[in-house]
Parts: sequence; structure tokens; C-alpha cells
Amino acid sequence: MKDIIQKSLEYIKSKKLKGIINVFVENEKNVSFSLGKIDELTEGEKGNAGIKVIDNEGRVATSVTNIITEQGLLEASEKCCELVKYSEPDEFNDISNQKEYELIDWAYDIDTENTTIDKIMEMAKQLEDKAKSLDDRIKFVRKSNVSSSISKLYFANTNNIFKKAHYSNASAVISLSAVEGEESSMGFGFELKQSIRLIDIDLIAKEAVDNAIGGLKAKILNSGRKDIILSPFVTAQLLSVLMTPLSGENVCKGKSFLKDKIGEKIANEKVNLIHDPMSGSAPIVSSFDNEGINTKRFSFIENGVLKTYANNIYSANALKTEPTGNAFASPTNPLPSLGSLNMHLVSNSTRNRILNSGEALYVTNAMGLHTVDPISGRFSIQISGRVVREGNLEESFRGMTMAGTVQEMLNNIDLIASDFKYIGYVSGSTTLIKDMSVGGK
Amino acid sequence: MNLEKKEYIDILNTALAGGGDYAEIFYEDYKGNLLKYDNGKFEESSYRSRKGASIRVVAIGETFFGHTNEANYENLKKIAENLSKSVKKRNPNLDIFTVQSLENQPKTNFMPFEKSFEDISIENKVDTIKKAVEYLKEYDERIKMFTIMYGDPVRKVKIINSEGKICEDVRHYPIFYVISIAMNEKGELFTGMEGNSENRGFEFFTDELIKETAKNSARQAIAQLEGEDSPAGEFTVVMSSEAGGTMIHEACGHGMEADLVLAGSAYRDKVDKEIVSKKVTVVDDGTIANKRGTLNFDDEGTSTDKTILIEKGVLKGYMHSKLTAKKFGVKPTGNGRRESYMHLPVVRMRNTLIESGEDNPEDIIKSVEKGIFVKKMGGGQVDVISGDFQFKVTEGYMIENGEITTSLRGASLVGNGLEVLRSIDMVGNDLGYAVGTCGKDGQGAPVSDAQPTIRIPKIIVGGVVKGGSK
Repeated sequence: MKDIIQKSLEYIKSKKLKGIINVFVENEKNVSFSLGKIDELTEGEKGNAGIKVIDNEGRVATSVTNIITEQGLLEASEKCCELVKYSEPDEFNDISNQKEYELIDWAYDIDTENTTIDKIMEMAKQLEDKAKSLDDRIKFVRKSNVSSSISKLYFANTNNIFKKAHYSNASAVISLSAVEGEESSMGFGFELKQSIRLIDIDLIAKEAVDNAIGGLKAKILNSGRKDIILSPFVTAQLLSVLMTPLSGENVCKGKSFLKDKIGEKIANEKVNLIHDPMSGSAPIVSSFDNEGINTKRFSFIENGVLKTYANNIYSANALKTEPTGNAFASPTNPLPSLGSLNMHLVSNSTRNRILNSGEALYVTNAMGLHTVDPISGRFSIQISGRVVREGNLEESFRGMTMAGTVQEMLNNIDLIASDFKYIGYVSGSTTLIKDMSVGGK
Repeated sequence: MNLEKKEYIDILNTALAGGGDYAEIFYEDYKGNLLKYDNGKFEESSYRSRKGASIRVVAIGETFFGHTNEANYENLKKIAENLSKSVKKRNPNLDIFTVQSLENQPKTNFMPFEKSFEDISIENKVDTIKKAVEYLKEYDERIKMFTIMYGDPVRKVKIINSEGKICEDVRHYPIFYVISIAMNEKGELFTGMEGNSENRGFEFFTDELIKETAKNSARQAIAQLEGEDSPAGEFTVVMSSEAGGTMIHEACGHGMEADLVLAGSAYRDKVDKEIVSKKVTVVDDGTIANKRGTLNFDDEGTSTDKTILIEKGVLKGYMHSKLTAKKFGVKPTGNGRRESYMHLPVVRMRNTLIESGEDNPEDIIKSVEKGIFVKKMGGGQVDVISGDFQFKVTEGYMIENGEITTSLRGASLVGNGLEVLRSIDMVGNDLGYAVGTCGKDGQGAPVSDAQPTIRIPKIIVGGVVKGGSK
């Protein structure tokens, strides 16, 4: 693979351009069951490459191809080189010169690679059977899916830098419906792990069934200002919204409410927000980003004070600072963009203590989080879950709204538990947010 | 992928050698440019391409699937062999049938186009963005930033299946998006976004289209800047036809996709029953000329048609792929779609709409003493089983004594699709479209949706509850 990539980089250099190439190759085994039948059985390899070229005045062009051959990469490189003249100059575009890096060999699990498609089929079937056995009101299982993937990443640029990584991942997900009379409610459970040995079928089935059953006989409560407890899943979803205002590129462009706020208090002093790309317990880890910059652990927010933005090479140059190693790409989008790996809040409490902290709305599902305006921070989302009193999960609610700004939410965060759940690149735990605006009747 | 017919037959018969009711080869060739203006300049030019083929075998309702990015005879034959082994291992005693011949299917043309993107210079494509930049610079000095995106992906597909059909289709998806950001004197930012797309050639990018897209985006940002925080609680809502049919697509349409009916959606077991207001007729139409969701064939080779879902309040049927149609004992409706050759087809909408009614849109607004007028809808999310939804209102106003008054910021609509359709009591004689890329099962599909102006007597509006007391 190194030779194939090298030929494209030589071509880019021959045009007097700088360039970077990320190539992802993924071997996947994937089985879904629905109502006792195989809904999908797929076994195969796929790849994707992202190419970026920069001319001597900082003009940029990119291309993406799924043809991972010498010819395929060369054609995509040629397209990139043809297009670059149509962009405008920008002195801040550049490529990495960091040659050294740590080869992570512990993120690859051979047991996951050796797991047969028959074993994956068996697990997907078990997941469906387990969920159906937990409650008679589970009438439909839309999809019970287990998959494993072995991924190889190759990064190289025209500064003769070559880095590679080898990962394994396994996931299980189930979506199902509970039915009682005319009423139906959907439930969802999932886990993403580094190894298939860590997938807990029983736990995922229980999570999905609890969500679905909890949604039955739910009511709309009155509007008002209420304390909110977010489940780990919803906390992670909300944290992922923060990535856009934390992006150094958006700060440079004036598209972030966090512009000029470094060193200022932007959240409750109990809030510590960490970027932790080498966390051993996380499903996805990386020692370098997809611009070839080595990653490191750091705090975005420390005791409520904004410490740094996530900077790629461009924003670091524009803001006159150092890149933080946060330009990540993926097999589906192999061009780097600013993101975080294993971003999470540092815990200061326990789930039990949070549930016993008075009357609150325990939110297990939030809809419309992608409609949060990352530029202004305003949001108005749908929430559903259970009312919590004295530590007990009591009546269900659904179809209500929570509205405000991300800034208000950060200021109102009070307690953070340690029951972390990863949703891809972000991790969340049970979190208490005081005094939020809730819309209902 | 241009193999001989005998090679396709050989691959299909190899795939079916372990038994099975159906097999198909799906080939895709996707390419296009993406140009982006941001940060006061042409920031990036991009080219994206994807090519490959997959084989699917269906055996007694179970699906076996494999794909390759090098779609030649040898690779496809190897995938077919592996799939037939998997089928036989799972179901050892299935009957085996063979494909004898293949026929090219007659071509319909619901998406005629004049100018192929490949024949247009990059300079001409860049000009579309320049026109929007000029317009936005003059629109309002409070518009401080804007992002403009031009896209022109073309997707050629070829489907060869064990029913003896060879179907080919070419889809052009021109895209023009504008995001405008306004800033007030306090430095607060307000965003407006407008996008347009169809299924046609470069002639899509007219000066009028460019100007309208830019204007609508900027107007939304300014309306938010000048607006007040939306109130929270139950209100009468008038949804303008300009809001498009996001609500009907998300909150109602998904529940009538047959795979979700099988998963327990709120529309299950209700065919031929009156389920919503008599004023409501809902269709999903894959044949409307040049709309974003229009197709000649779906991604299973089924011809598209106009599928009536609800007629004057009565549920008439569901949207189907080949698989779900077989389970329901009906004909497929041409709704089997997939994002790429690496995905299996699932039941997807095309152009979904509530048909126009008889009420004058102005009379609908005048009928409301106190309520909310939704002019433009943003994105949203839905629980596809229950139909519970949340949608962002990107441009909304108060209605007071039948008049549109203050603009609102930060509003959303929350409710249940079936309940909303039951409660609609006025339906306008107009019709407005919106476009999007619908996400389902991790796959995106280009769609459009439409609705007339409608009145919903009671729905929850998400907004801000003032004060600090709980």
C-alpha cells in the first residue's frame, strides 16, 4: 500500500504541489436478524481514500475515491491537481512535518478478526431472542445486528511522512417495538467495543426493552423550568454538539459563540471537558490525526474555564498556535475535519446520588439534537423519559421540549456520574442539569 | 460494467446455485464536483467518485449480500460462489432455479435533462456561486458571513436480476445551498439556511434559482435576528406551503414504509380504515417530472409510479420494496432504494406530499386568533414507530387576531404524525416543495416533499419558559 500511495504523492510533487493521502481499508462481517430471519448477511472488504493538495499560495482541492489501486489513486490525484487553481489563496493551509509517531498495536484484537460469520450470526440471533424474552409486550424486532470490522489506516504526505494504524471494532445494536393496545413505542440499545469479547448481549437487550416499555403510557406534562437528568446516551449526544463551537476553524471564521473566550468562564466550575484520544477503555483510539499530527490528551474546559479550541494545521496557523491533533477522517469520509476522540466530562458524583437529588425529569431519549444551532448555541429539542422522585423512576413522559442555549446548559451542569457510554467518538455519563426550560401542556 | 448477457446469466445462476428465490447484480458509477465558498473566498474544490457492484440473493425471506469495488466478471463470479455457499449452508434443501435469458427494459424518462454536468467547465460552475455572492453582499449589512455550496453528483445505475430484467437509470442531482449568518449589535449570531435540488442537468442553476435560494437564506437569518424568543406550550399552528412537506415525510411517511409497518408502526393493520381527517390525501410519487425524488426505476429495477397512501382520510396501502411486497402479497411500488452499491435496498420515499385542498391560504391565517405561523422548517427527527417528531422552525411568526406579527427565534414543533393528520382542519389550495436527503438505516436517499398551507388546531411548540422558578 505504501508504494501505491507513494506513486500518487510523487505525481502531486511533480506538479509542484503539497499533498496528503488517507487510505482506509476495512474488512467487515455483518449479520442482522428480524423476526427470526436473516435480514442481512454481508462479508467483504471495502476501502476509501481521501486526497488533499495545496499549491504554493495555499489553494486547496480535495478528492475521494473508493478505488484503492495505483490507477484509482492516481486518477483521483490528477482530478485534485486539476481543480486546485479554482480555489483562492490562503496562507494558512499547510501539511505536517511530524515524522515520529507511536504505532498503536493494542487497538487490534485478533479474536475479533478470527470471529467467524457463523458466530456473529449466532450472536445476532441471541440478541433478538433475549430481547423478546424480557417482556411479552415486545412484539416487533426491527433489526438485531452484530458486526465486526478490521480496519487499516495509511496516512502519507509529500513531506515523506508515512504513518499507519490497525484497529478492530465490534458492535451490536437492536431496535424493537413494545405494543400495548393501540399504543406502540420504539426502543433502541447498542454497544461499540474494541473487541467482540466485550459485547454484552444481555445488557443491550435490556437497554432496548427498558426504553421501549418506558415509552408506553407516557404523558405530556406541564410547561415550566425543571431539573433535568440526562442518561449517558443523551449526555454523549449533547456533548457531540459542542464540537462545532470548539472547532478552531469555526472560531477563525467567526462562526462560534466561543470566539475570543479562551481563559474565560464558559461553564459551571464543576465542568471539566477532556479530549482523550489514547484512552485504553475507548472503542476508538488514535496516536495521530489524519493530517499526520500526533494526538494528545488535553482539557477543552477546566473548572468551567475554556482552555483551548480543537486546532488543525489551518486553524493553528490562523490563530498563531500549535495544532492539537484533532483533524480526523473516517472510512466513510476520508477527508480530515475537526473533531474529537473520546471527549467526555470528568465525573464528580455517582448515578445513585444524582437520581436521589430531588424531583427531576430523567431524559432517556432526545430528538432533534442535530438541529441545535452550533453557531448561536440555541436549541429546542424533544425529550422523553421518566419523572424521578426520591431516587425512583416513576411516570413516563414524552412529546415535550427542552429549549435554551448551549451556554445556559453548560452553566447549569451540576453533577456528573461515571457510568460512561461511548457513542462513537464521544462518551457520556448520567448528568444533572439544573433549571432548564421545558415545554409541554 | 459492460459484461456480455451470458456472463450476467452465469453470475446470477452461480449466485442461485445454492437455492434462492431471487438474485440481482447492482452496479453503480457515481461522480461529481463540490465547490464551496466560505470565509469570504472560494475555499475548496472537490471531486468525489465511487464505483462498484454488489450481488444479493434472497432465499425464503433471508438476504445474503456481497460487494466489490472492481466490478469485473471474475470478482462478481467469486462473490456469487460465496453467496451460494452461504445460502446452502443455512438452507441445505432449497429448490434451484436458473435464469435463461435477459431483456433490456424499455426506458421511461421522468427526468429529462438538457446539459450534462460533464460538458460544463468548472469556470461556469464557479459562476453560479459568484452570482449568489454578489446578491448576498447587497442584501442587508447585518448579514456578516455566508457559505455557498454547489454540487453536481451524477449516479448511473444498472440492475440485472433473476426476473430476466436489465434496467439502467441515470440520476443527476444538482445541489445549491446557502447558509447566511446575521449578527446583531450585541455580537449574537443568527443562522438562515436554504437549499434546492432536483433531478435534472446543469440547466437547474438558473439565475432565478440562485437568487431565490440566497434571498430565502438571508431572510431567515434576519427574521431570527429581529425576532423574539418563541413561547413554549400548546398553540394553533398554521404551516405554510413554503415550509414544504418535511412533516408529512418524517412524521407520517416513514410509518407507511412497509418495512416499518412490519416493525410495528402506528399504521399497521389499518388499511381501508379511516385513520385521519377526510381533508387529507397523501401520495408518494416517483414520476413527477425532474423532482429530486423522481426515478425511472428504483434500485431493484421496479418501475416507479404514483402510490396513493391515504385517500380522503382512508389508509389505502403502504410503500414497498420487492421483499416487503412479497410479505404483504402485493406488487412492489418502486420504493426499493439504496445509497450505494455497498448497501442493501430498503423501502424509501421518493416525492411525498399532502395533496392540495380547497381553503384559501390567507383565510387560514385569518382564522387564527392566537397561534404560530411556520414559514420555513428546518431539520428534525422522528420515532418512526410511534410517529413522535421534533422539527426545528427556521422561520416562524406569531399570529395575533388573524394577522402575522412578531418573528420568532428558537422554536420547534413537537407532536405525533398520526395525531396531527387527524386534527388538520383546514387545507389550502396551494402546494410548496422542499428537498432533502432522507436518512434511514444509515443510508441517505435524495427526496422531495410537499404540502399545501394547513391548520393544526393544537400542537406543542418548543420555546423558552421565562424566569428561574421551577
